[in-house]
Amino acid sequence: MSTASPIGIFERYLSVWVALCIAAGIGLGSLMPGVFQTLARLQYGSVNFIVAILIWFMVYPMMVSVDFSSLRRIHERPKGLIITLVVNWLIKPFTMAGLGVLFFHYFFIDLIDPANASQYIAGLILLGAAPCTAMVFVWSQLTQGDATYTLAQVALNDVIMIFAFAPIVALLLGVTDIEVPWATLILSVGLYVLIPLIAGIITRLQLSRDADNPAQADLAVSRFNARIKPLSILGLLATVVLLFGFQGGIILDQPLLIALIAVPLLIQSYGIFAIAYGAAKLWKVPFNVAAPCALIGTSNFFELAVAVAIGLFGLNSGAALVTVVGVLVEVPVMLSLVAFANRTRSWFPATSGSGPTHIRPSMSPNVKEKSHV
Amino acid sequence: MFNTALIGLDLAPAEQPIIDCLPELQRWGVQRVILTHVIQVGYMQGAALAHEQDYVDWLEKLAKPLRVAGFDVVVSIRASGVPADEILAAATEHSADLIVIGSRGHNLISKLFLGSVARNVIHNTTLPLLLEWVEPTAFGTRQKCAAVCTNTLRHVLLATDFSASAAGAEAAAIHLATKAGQVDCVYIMEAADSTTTSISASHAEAALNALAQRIEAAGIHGNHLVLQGKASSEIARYASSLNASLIVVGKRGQNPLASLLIGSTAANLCEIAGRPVLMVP
Repeated sequence: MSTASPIGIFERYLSVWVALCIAAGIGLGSLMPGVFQTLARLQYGSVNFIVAILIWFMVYPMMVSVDFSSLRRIHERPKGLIITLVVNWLIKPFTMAGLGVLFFHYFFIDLIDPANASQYIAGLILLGAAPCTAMVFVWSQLTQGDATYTLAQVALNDVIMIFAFAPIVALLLGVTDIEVPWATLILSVGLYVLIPLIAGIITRLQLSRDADNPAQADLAVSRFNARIKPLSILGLLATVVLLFGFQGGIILDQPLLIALIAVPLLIQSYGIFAIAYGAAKLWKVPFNVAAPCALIGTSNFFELAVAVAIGLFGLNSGAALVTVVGVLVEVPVMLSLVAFANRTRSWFPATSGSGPTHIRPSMSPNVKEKSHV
Repeated sequence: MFNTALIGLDLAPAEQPIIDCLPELQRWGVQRVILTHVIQVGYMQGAALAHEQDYVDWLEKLAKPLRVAGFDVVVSIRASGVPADEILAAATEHSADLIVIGSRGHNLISKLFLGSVARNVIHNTTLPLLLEWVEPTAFGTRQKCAAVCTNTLRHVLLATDFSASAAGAEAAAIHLATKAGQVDCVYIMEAADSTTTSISASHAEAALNALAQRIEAAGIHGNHLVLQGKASSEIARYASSLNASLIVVGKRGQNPLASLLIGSTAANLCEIAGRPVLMVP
């Protein structure tokens, strides 16, 4: 009998699928550039219709999953939420911008086309300015995190994102001397955050209107998401193919570019994890809150970053390229941090006082599932 | 043979009538039941983890009538990115000797994109697996249950190819025969090729006769028949013509590639049977 797998094939091999789509995009872009040019022309103002549809495929199901009623219990894990808020909104966007400037204006200046440096920094800023939403429960579950806390954290981050994403992006683009297309930025947030969010809330209310308890409401939403998950995956992967249909020439001319972009991203990921995890340790936050707190702070809302990068700077921009590299490195980085967190569980108090989650993934043989007899 | 049954529930409304039928498993010899629901965790999935206690309460509610019926019941909420693997792991942990899950018909698109928990459990299980038929709606499932499977041992159809991989199914059918109303046997002659173990019609008749005698030793009479065609389709068609209450089949030992390309007989059967299927590895 097989050993249970705590993570599905799509999630585990996300980097592989993205790499394959990059290769497919480069190949198709070389073979049929006219098709990609035609797709690029299907736009009104700064909004490309094909990209908009693909991004909605990605973001809308995510927003259906966000349970804003969880905000009622937000006070139950104040330390974890304080760390989350500080790391996600007061530290992470700024360290990402700082690393971008450091690497692309100084360290890598001789290795890249200096004219593109600002684009790469902009891409990094967009990645750093929005916290993870889609994969949060994967990372939380792999460390036996407190699911109630995770749910509240996502809801809170998404509420803050509506108001804070555009100002933070604008501020950081401004201080790094990148022109801020304010109208396009606001339009992007409206199109790719606000509209999917409202549609998600309406859908969630519709799906759960006949539910007698939260579990039934969850099940209705889960089934809906399971049905539309293929569309989200299609949206993500097709966007990568489309992007690299335009970017193929750049990658072929400079194949090491992806590795260069990955360097500040990796430093940022491990650095942010260290800050959040270290703060949680110093503050004696229980492990089942500390681990998801640090992991969720580390990972990014790459779908939104890709969408806004395309909206602001175009499909063939360096900024869009950077956001896809963010997708490429996400899973290997996060799995390495999950492994580290599980090995350092003993650094923290065992559990939070009121966390209800006792479900254990089979990946960790040292902990047991709790059955209710 | 069947003492502990792990019931993998997806808690869909259409599945409820199946839960109502679980007391029937006492006639199979089942004394202990593990009610399990696996919360799927993945890309955009897993928020349900925050409501674990609500799920536990839900399962406890379902467990009450089973306890009244005399079962020893355990409820268990689990989480995984691969629910099928988690169901199998839970069965091992609880020393189950029977897994029960719902099975639905799937169209090609959902097969390609979503896969099927049932299909994955079928492919990987080493334990007997009872696939209860679930219609798209609770009303449909209830009607089907009333018409076909409220009494799963009313009319059992054993489909065998006399291979080593069918021996477990034959043993299970003989075991159940002591409590069954009728047990029929069928052998399907498929077009001979390298992946099947087809035998001649005369040999099949002889083998079916021998099998029928073993079943009759349990005190009941049954018919046996040799049919031709694609195994899964013919078994489903014949079971429907008999209004069989349960189909018992073995698990084909196809190699993974063949299984991927054409699907095993049991996997195909579970999507078209329209009635419970007991697959015995």
